[in-house]
Amino acid sequence: MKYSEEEIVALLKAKSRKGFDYLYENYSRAIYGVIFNVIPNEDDAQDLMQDVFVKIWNNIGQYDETKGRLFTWMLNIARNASIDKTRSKEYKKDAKNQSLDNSVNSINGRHSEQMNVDHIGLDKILTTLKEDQRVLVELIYLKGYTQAEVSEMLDVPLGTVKTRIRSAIMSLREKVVEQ
Amino acid sequence: MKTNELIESGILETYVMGAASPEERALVEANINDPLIRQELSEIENALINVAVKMEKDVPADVKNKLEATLFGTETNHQAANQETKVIPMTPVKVNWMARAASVALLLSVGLNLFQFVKHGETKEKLAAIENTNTVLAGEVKVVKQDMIFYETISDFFQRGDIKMIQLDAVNNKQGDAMIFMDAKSGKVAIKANHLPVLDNDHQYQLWALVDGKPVDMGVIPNDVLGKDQLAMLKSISGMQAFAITKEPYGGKASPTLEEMVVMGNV
Repeated sequence: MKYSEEEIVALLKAKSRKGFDYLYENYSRAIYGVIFNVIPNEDDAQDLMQDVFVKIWNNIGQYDETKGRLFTWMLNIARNASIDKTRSKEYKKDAKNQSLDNSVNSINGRHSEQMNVDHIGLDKILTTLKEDQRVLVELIYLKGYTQAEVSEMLDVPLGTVKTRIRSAIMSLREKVVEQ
Repeated sequence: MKTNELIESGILETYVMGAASPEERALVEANINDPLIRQELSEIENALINVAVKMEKDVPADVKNKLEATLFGTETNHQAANQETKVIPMTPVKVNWMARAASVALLLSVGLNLFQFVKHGETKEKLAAIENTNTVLAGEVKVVKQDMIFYETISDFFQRGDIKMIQLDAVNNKQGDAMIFMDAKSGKVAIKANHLPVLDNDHQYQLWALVDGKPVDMGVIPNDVLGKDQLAMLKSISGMQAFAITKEPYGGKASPTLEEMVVMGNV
């Protein structure tokens, strides 16, 4: 049985168990991937997965299909929850303790994390981008940095950040067509 | 902002990525019924979802079990309550009073279950309402926190910095003036734009610093501080000879539109 996004939303709004099962079956792996990319730690990522699904379940009434797809909405919830976690005091403290071992120090706990783009499929699609575009997609879409943070980190004007994102996604759109 | 300008601006992409500023989000949502914008957004979404699914990661089964307990745990409890309802064996002919007592007991037990079930439903609703309020409050706290951090930054700036004031005056027969506060030590720049004419949502003022005759982007001034006694912190700079402000399409540009220069001042 395959449901359209519209049908899933209707099921979820009706608090249907079937809707939950279908949602979990089809979207949990992508959502977990997004979380794990920001929080590369199994325990924390699993906790967050709980929070994110509870949030989706409770806030489905706020989802507005005119503003975009359910998938996008859920991915944004997952990314935001993950970023909030990295900004929380306890997480920063943990991250600091962990980094004592590898002596990587930085002002902000998040900056010390290494990119862990270790998915072959993801690597394959992102390496088709120009280096300066790839970095932006990774930092903003996969790591959840704001445009302003990225602009400062890379010392690139905000306007340039936007135009680069635009060209990066234009080229990712061509990949969708090719597939 | 015209439809094609919005499409070219990169704002739609940042919107789908969840990285748009509140102003940008409002701008996209104001235009969301435009079929061209819709089409564009949907293609951007597909491209990004295509990236997201490449990150898929197997979720330990444990996660789903816990989640089900959180979301539906109440249902299993309810079943358990039903199972606990004891059926009392009856021997109707022999001892009639026992049968009566049993039916009364059964009735009471059913009634009690029903009462608990209804009450349970109410509690669940109340809990959902409280959870909602919590989310709203958390959002408000976040905004207040951001405001506080902003004011701390401003107060720190004025207390510790070696502040120079640079007055920007109208040029090109335009109206208005603005005041720049610059910390000579850190190069941090704040601007007070209370005398700049208010702009529509399609435009923003952008500050430029002139360094060796070349304009350097200092960022856009948020429209909500225009005409108000509020400061906005912009980018840091050193070695500049002058500052100037131009009126640009919303979000700013990579290089200044010189005929739209509004005010300017030498350092």
